[in-house]
This record gives sequence, structure tokens and C-alpha cells, in this order.
Amino acid sequence: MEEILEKLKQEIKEIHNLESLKKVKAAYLGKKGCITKLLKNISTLSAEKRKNYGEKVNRLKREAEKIFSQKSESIKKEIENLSLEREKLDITLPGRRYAKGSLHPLSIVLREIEDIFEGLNFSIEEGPEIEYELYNFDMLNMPKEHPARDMHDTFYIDEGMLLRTHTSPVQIRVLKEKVPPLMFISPGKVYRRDADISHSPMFHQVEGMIVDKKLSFSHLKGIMTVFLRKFFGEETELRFRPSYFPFTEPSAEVDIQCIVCKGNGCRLCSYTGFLEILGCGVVHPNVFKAAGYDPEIWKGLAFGMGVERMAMLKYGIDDIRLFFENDYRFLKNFSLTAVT
Amino acid sequence: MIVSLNWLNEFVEIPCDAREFVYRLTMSGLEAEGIVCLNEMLGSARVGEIKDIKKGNINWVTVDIKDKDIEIATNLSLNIGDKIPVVEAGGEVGKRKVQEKAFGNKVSYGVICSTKNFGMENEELIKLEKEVENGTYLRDIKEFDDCLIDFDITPNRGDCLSMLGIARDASAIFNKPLKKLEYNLEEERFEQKIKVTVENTRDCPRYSARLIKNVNIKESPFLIRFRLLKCGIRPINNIVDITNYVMLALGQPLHAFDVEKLKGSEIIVRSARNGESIITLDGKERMLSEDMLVIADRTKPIAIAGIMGGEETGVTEETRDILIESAHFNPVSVRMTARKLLMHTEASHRFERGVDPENTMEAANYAAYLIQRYAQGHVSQDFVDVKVKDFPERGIICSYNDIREIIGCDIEDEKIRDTIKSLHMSLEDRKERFLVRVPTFRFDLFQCEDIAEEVARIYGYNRIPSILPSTPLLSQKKSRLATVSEKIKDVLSNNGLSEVINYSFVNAEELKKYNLIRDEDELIKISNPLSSEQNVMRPTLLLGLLNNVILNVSRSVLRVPLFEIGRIFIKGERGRLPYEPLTLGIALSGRRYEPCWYERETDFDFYDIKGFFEDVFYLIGADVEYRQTKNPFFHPQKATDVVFEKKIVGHFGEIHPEVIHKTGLKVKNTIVLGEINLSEMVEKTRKVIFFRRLPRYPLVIRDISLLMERSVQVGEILKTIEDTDKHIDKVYIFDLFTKGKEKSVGFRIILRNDEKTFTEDEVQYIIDRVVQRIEEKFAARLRR
Repeated sequence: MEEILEKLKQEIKEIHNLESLKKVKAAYLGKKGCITKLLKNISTLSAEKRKNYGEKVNRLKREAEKIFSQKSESIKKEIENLSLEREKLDITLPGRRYAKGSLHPLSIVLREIEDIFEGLNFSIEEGPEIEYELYNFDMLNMPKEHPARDMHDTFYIDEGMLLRTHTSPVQIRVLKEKVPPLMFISPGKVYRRDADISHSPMFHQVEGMIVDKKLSFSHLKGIMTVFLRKFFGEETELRFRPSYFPFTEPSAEVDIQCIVCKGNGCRLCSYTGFLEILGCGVVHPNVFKAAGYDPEIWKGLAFGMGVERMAMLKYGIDDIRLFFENDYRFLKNFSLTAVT
Repeated sequence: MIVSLNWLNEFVEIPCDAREFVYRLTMSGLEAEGIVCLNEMLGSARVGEIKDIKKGNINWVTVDIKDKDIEIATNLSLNIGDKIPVVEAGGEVGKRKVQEKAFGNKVSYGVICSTKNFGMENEELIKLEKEVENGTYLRDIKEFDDCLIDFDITPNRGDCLSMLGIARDASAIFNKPLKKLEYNLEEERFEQKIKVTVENTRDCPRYSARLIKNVNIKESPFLIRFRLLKCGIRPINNIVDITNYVMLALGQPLHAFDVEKLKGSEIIVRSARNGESIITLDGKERMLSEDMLVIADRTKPIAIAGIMGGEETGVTEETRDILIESAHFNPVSVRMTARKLLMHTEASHRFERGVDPENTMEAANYAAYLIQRYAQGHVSQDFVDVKVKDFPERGIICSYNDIREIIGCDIEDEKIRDTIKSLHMSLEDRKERFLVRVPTFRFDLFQCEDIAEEVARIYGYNRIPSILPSTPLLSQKKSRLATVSEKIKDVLSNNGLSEVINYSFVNAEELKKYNLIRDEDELIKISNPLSSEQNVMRPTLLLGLLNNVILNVSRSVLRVPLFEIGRIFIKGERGRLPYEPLTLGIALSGRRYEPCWYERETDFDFYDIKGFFEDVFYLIGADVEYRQTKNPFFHPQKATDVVFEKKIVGHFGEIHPEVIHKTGLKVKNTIVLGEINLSEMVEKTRKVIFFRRLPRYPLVIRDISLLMERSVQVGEILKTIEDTDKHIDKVYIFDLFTKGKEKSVGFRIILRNDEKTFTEDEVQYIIDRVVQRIEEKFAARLRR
């Protein structure tokens, strides 16, 4: 009987389909199968032998059935695997990606600047790009005969109007329309008659203002330091040096340590180790007077920066004109850069 | 303003090296833009004498450098006998090696150095004194051991436009006393006298002058010539050079008149008369008007006050007697005149910013002394000094606390006092307060804030603490327009468009060429554009975007999906500011997809741009209608106007083939463009998002297909279906194709009932009504 089982195992070993397996099964367990025959023999045996024999044959039958059913399962699984294999994908083929566009690098940097100031509780204010000469110059302590007007090469529209040369006139508008204390920035396009690799006749500025009763130059240093370290990194070294703007007194320029050479001197910083990044100062009493504020009571701080310059430093762009040429391949550099 | 450290040392002792000097001055408000250390640039340059010149395409000169003669090729214009700096091949100058160089079959054995070789900006020849021995190394000549520093002087610091001015600040910074100029003027008595009459005393409150006779016009001595060159001024002759030299030294612009050419020995300072004109030293005729101040003789103007002298009375080689003018002119008058005449000179630059009115005589005397010494002139003892008024020192009352509060730093009283005094201002204590007297050379100090800045800048900005203000404010919310515009940028950029920023100014001709405007009078013109390419403010974003497409296509970019959000400019009422609506523009051209294996290559079309705009309308919450456009920029059959609240707020679609033709692009480039006025729509809309309950009973979905004429507008059918029954929740178009003159459209209708489950009869009733209505209204028929 052991031999029968061995033979059976040998016989089904090479079988890979259910049809053949069925035939083999019939040869063992079918009506005329060899095990069935053995079973039929029981009746011919004596009573005492019958019991022993019967047990053995029945065990053999169960073993055989088990082997067949196992084999049948494994054949089924084999077939299934084969059919899945036929569905195999090339997992190295690129995936379906929905087309991504991009924000303009200046938009990205503007947002970053706005986010930092919003985090410091500044509001955002806007104003017209074509302005009255009065708001752009006169009310900012720059009367017509003032040589400081030479610092702004201006595009004029007729009748006392011009393309604003800075977003400072927004400050005049806010001072006139709102009630202090005030804390806001004014981002936007500004225009100056100048065009070369580092000057564009149109560019973007963010200017800011704080108006309150107790403010001093040291507060300005505080705000500027927080902002510049958030934008350029907490380790950024700064220096404040005296400068001149008609609408602030005292006035300062803020330099950051050169981001390329870390202060050792290189071409970008003209070997000074520092990069000019921002102008600021304590609001001039004449500006307050022009806007109808008592400069004895109200103190103000103001600052302003060029967005193009910040973006050029951030992304290593060496020609300002690239921002406005709008070559698609340039723009695509800034795809998915909302987070950096 | 370029400063020579050597020269500056004659006014104040500089106790440190050039780089430290530059740093200290920069940090106290005089920003240095550049520094040229001449002594580091000399290399092996030495004195050579020109022995022979052979002119040709290239000039060949023979130069004697003591031990030998060398042949050098040069394009500088030289004379035999000139002594010039020269570097022999194998040597070095300006930190560069000099090598033999072949020109044709001849070899040049060195270079003649100009100012440029030493790192200076303008290219000028440096002619040395005849007395210098040939072969002397320049490093052994004192005037070459120098550093030149280019200061960017802000407009408020006119007082720093001279060696004396810079020296005054340096003396405060380094705590060193100013040195006094020592010279000895010998005067003589002459019969001849020059009368000066100042008629316009407002614009000329002081006029000083000196008469000098029998001057010997020639080349200036090397020291003067070289110092002028270092400061960027070209030497002319000794008289002109000395007037410039004194201006650079003391900040007072001077002018020399040729006395023999004056009509009647009289100088009149007066306003010009309308119709008068003058030919200035640069040979140009200038038309004058009565708001301009002139210096005149009896017959006509001989100089434009504070700006430039006249050619006729200028110093020439024949001049014998001269009058040196040293005057104080009203800064505003000089500025307005210079602006009107589009002139900018060294003199006007200084007068506009303010020149010390109490220094005119000193400058005239110093010039007279130099002329006596270097032009053998005889100085008349009679001098002119018309002083219309006194120039008192301005008084400013401050308190120590005011200063500390403005700066936000605890600087002691004594420190404040010392700093103010070190800046050459006098100070009187008056109990809690003090009175500062501002010297006549400072034109930028009027109030306590100004004094605070003076104290702070000398004290050092970097020593002032950094503190955050405690202004207790909640920031206000951004405007809806600003918020919406940022959101649109996100949506469009996340959906495949790239943002562009174009100039706000465009070319009027181009607007006309592409049918973007009807009438040029509607445009806002710039009076002084940089070029005609940018002469008007854009009334539309379309031109900029079209040009972006053209640029990218010309650079073989196959896929150009762009958008811009920016203001356009629409003329307002006379004298009022224009309307500047924020506008969204979109441009699509070329391939719809990046090359990929899962989509067929197709081009952008009308429905792409419509999809983007529909997203935007949905985002704003605006209901719009579409109406065929009459705008001649667009294809008449493939574009639409956008109508919002009965107003056209935009348009989009394919551009007119004629416009494409004018761009020079191939007609097969379809370009879809469009823009909408965001300001207009955002103001009048509001978007409320309110949760809608999920359906409680199963939705029913039914598809119907209809055949109709091709001209039927499917949008109308959609509206009709939606209006048929309140249970129609949503209608999709899932199929569309044309066959001959007809088209077949498949609609998928979603039915929703929140009260109960639909019965089959109810569903059929609704669908039947839908079909019936469409059949009636659009002559369509159901496909079976």
C-alpha cells in the first residue's frame, strides 16, 4: 500500500493542469481505480483480517484524496499566478502627472516678504501706480527744487501726474485715511527711468511704516533685524550705516553680509563683504506735518526694499531683465517652489 | 566725488590706512563706492622720454628709459620730449604682466601707461615734469603714492563735495584737528578797476572777485594736472586748471573771465531777458529766459550763473588779464535753470546742493595765490566783495533727552556735546536744553532730528540697540481683491500655467497694428519714455502676452501656457488719476500636453482657455454670460465676450488670423488669448460656501442622445434641461460628434430627490418632458 502512495506522488509530480490530474485521480480513486479495487476486496476477507485491512485501505484512500486536493489547489494557484504575470507593468515608465505651472519668482519672493510682515502683525495696503506728483514727492519732503529728486529718474504723465517712483505715496494715503497707531507694508510696482543689467524701468518695492507714540531708531533696528534674519537666515550678519532719504531723519541703509563670500569679499559685493539690501529711517517731521499729524505726538518708522534685488540674491539671477522677458524656460525654474 | 588721500592729508591727518579710512567714513554716512590704491598699481612703471615718433595706422615711439631706448606701439597722441610712465616688457602694471607684442613684423617692447593702467576710470595721458630723470620708478615719486576713493555723496551733503568738506567729517570721526592752508598772497596796485553790480540780490546774495593781470597761460604744473586727473577732470591750461583745483579743494566753484573781452569794465549780475541767448564754453547756444540768472557785461550775458561761462569771454592762449569770480548763488535758482537747459556741470552740482557763502573770499584768494605762483599773474589789491546780506548761523534748540529718545539709546550728555562740537558746531548749554549753531557750510540741519542723526552717525549706528516695538495692533485682513488674486495665481499655476510679469508700458503703434485700440487718444502717454517701444501705459494685458508667445515660439518653445495678473490703465477725467483695474490675462499656444506616452499630441484651443476662465469665475463666485465678440483682435467665430452684470468685463478666444499674420508667425500657430477685469467682478461678488446634505435616497442617472443641426448652441440646451424640473441636479455632456450637417450630443442627467425614492414612472415622466422640450425648442430628435 505504501508503494501505491509513492507511485501516486511520482505520477502527479509533473502534472500542471487539472485535466490530467482528473485522469490520474480516476485511475486511483475512480470506479475502476486501484484503491477502489482494494476497497472492494474487503468483503472477500475474514472477519478478523477485515478490520485491520479495512482501516489500512481507508487510511490510504484518505491520504490519496488529500494529495489530490492539495495538488489541485496548487495547480489552481499556479494558473492564477501565470495569468497575473501576463499583466505585468513596466514600473519604470514615467507616471501620469498633471501639468504644473509656476508662479513668477517675484511673486514668490513678494509672498515670502508679505508673510513675514503679516506674522509681525503688519497689514497690507495698496495704492495707484500712476500718482500725483504731490503725493510722490512734495508731501514726502521733496519739493520740486530739491536736489533729492535727482535720486529718482521719473517718468511723467502730464498734468502733475507721474509713474510712482516708490510706494511711499501709499504711506501718505494711509496716513490721511486711517487712524493711528498704524503698522502696514505697501508692496507694488514702481517706475524709474533707468535700464541696464541691474536697473529696470519697472520694478517692485515693498515699503513699510509704523506709526505710534513712542518709537525710536532702535525699534527700527529691531524690526529690520527680525525681518532680514527671517528672510536670509537666522545667522545673517547685518550692519546699519547712515544714509539719506528726504522723508526720514535719521536715515540708514542696511547691508547684509555677502551671501556668496560670507564677508571675505567677492565680485558680487564689490569686495566689500556686504550687500546693500534696504533703506530705512525715522519718519521726518515734515512728512507728518504734510499728512496733518502732530510730529510732537506721533513718531514713525519707515523702510523700503527692492523685490528684484532680493530675488536676484535668493536665486542667483544676474540680469534683472530676465524677470520681464518671460522666457517660458526661465519661468519653469520656479515650478513647485511655493515651499523652499 | 573722488578724493585723493594725499591731497586730503593737507587738510587733516589721516591716522590709518586707506581701507580702514573707507570703512570708518562709510559707517558714518559717507559711502565709498570704490577705492583705487594707486601705489599698488604702479608695478614696474618708470619715467620714459619720447625721443622719436613714427606715425601710421599704429604709432611707433622710441622711448628713453635711461639705460636704453625701447620701441613701443601706442595709440596715444604724444609729442617728442614728453615724459610719460612706461613699462618695459617683462614688467608689470595694474597687477598685470606686460609682454612683448608683435604688430605686423615689428615688436613692441612695452606699454605707455595712461590713467586706465593704474585703475582709474577715464583714459588720460599722464605727462610728467620735464625735470624728472628718465628711468625713475613711479613708486619713488610722491604723488604716485596715493589712494583714490570714490565717495557717493548724498544730495543733503553738498558740503562734502571737496577735500575740505571730507576733511571736516574725517576730523570729527578720527578726532584730529583741521589743518589751515598756508599761503602768502602778494598784491599790487593797478589803475584798472572792475565794477560789480548785483541787480538780482535774491539769487546772488554774495559776489566776490579778484582781478589778476598779465598772466602767463601755459600748461599747469604736474601736481595740479595730476590731482585733477585723479579726480576725473581733464587739465586744460593753468588758469582753468587752478579754478577747478580750488573748487575740488574748497568746494567753491570759480570762473575766470578774460577781462579784455568784457564790454566796459563792469560786471552785472541780473536776470536774463527773454529772447537773450549765450554761447557757452562747450560751444552750444543756450536760449535764456527771465527766470534765469546771468552774469553780464554792459551789452550781453557772459555766463549762466553757477552753471557755465560764455565762450566769448573765456580764457584763451592770448588772455592776459583775468577776473576770478567766486560767488554764492541761490541753490533753487541754479537748479531750476540747469534743469530747464538740461545742463549739469561740476559747478551746478555744487551750487544746487549748497556752497558755503562765507568762503567766497578765501577761495578767490587761494586761486589768486596759485595763479600768482603758477601763471606769474599780478594780483590787484582791489578786490570785489558784494555781500547783500549776512549769513547768520542757524540756531537749533534741542534737549539731551530728545536726542536720546529719537535714537533710542542712552548716550551721556557729555558724549552728545563732544560729538556735536567735533562736527564744527558751537553749542551753548541752557539748563535742560542746549542751543546748537549750525555752520554756514551745512545746508541739511534744521531741527533736533537732524542733530540726533549727526550724533548717531558719529557714535556709530551699530552701537545702537535693536528693540522690537510693542505697538499692540492686530493686522487687518487683506482686501478681497488681493486675496482673490493670490488664490487665482495658485489655481492657475497648479493647473499648468506659468505666471509672467510684463512691463506696464507698451508701444502705441503695436497696439494699433494688432487692432487692440481704436483711437490713440484713449491712451495714457508717458511724456519722457525711455524709447518709443514703451511710450504708453498698457490699456490691455493682451499685447504683452501676445509678445510673450511670439518670443517663446521664436525660441522654439513648443508649449506656451501663460498668465498674468496686473493692472491696466484707462484714462480718467481730466486731471484725475486713471482707472487701474486689476486684470487677469491668459495666453495658450502650442501643445496642450508636455510630450508623453499617454496623450495624443494636440494643440490648445478655445475650450482650454474657457476652462481656465470658468475655474476663475467659479472661484470668485461670478455668474457670467458669453456673447459673440465684435473685438477685431479676435477670430470672429472662435471667441467670446464675457458679460457680467450686463457689462462686458472681458473677452477670450482664438486671435484673428489677420493678427497672427501681422505677428509674422505661421498661421498654423493657434494662439488663444483672453483677459478679464478682476476688480470689476470681485467688487460685486461674494462667495458663500455652505455644506450641502448628502443625498438620502439613491440618485438616478439617465443618458439621452439627441440629433440636431450643427448651429444649435448646446449651452442653451443645457439651460433648458436644468430648468425643466427641480429634481434635475446636474447635467453632463458625455458625448459629442458631428455627422454631415448634424451633430449628436449625449446628455447624462442626474436626478435627485430628497424626500423619497423615485419610482420608474416619475423618472420617465421627467425625462420625457426634457426630451419633448428640447425637440420643440431646438428641432432636435432623440436617437434610438
